[in-house]
Amino acid sequence: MQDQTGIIWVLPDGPHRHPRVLGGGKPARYAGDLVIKHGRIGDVTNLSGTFQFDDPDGLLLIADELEQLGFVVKSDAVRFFPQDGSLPRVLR
Amino acid sequence: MQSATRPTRILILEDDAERRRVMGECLDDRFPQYGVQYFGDAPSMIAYLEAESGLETLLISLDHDLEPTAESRSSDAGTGRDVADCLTARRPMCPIIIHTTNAPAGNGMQAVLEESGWMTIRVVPYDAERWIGETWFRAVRNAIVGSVPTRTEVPA
Repeated sequence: MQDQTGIIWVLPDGPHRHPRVLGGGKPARYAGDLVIKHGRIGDVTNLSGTFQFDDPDGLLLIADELEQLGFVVKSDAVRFFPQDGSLPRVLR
Repeated sequence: MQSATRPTRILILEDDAERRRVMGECLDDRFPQYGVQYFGDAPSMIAYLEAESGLETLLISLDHDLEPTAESRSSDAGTGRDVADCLTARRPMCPIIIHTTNAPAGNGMQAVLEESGWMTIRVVPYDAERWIGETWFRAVRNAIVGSVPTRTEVPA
């Protein structure tokens, strides 16, 4: 979850977490989920039933920012799920 | 059978209403854009698969032991093995989760499906519906995200 100031918040997975990350009905700049495996980001997505971001460029920006923070994002890890229910695709 | 109207779907064989409710909540939390089709008995699911809707399928999740429900077509609800046997005649198209406490039956389903080229994941239920949020949904999420074709797998 990325807040309006650009901070990316990451917390352990579980059901119904997204509404509670920022709390108070605050808007998010982006939201999704990711898997960290062996110290590297194995996948990062826009999957969030709460926020339902439908912007592939926004997801690529998140991946860029994670790399700038020092994380290694594996090849083919950036996976976008369109909100119209069409098939997901790898962005990068 | 509950219908899915969205273009891509997740198919679930599960006769227990409470399990379905919790599964639905978990899926809405992460995959609200995809239709979810529930089947309470094997004959309904087999009929649906044989009708070839043409819709893309992201994931299939199969229970084994089934009791007839109000929506069942007959007094024999069949088993998840019946659906697995039906799927072996089809081209593998998505991952399959086998969610059953019946270990021998689950082993049999897994064997026939994998022999036919399907990727399977086993999830063993525990503690009422708690396993759904803790292990089933994580398996669902990772199976769906992990099966997105990579750029080299997508035809140009």
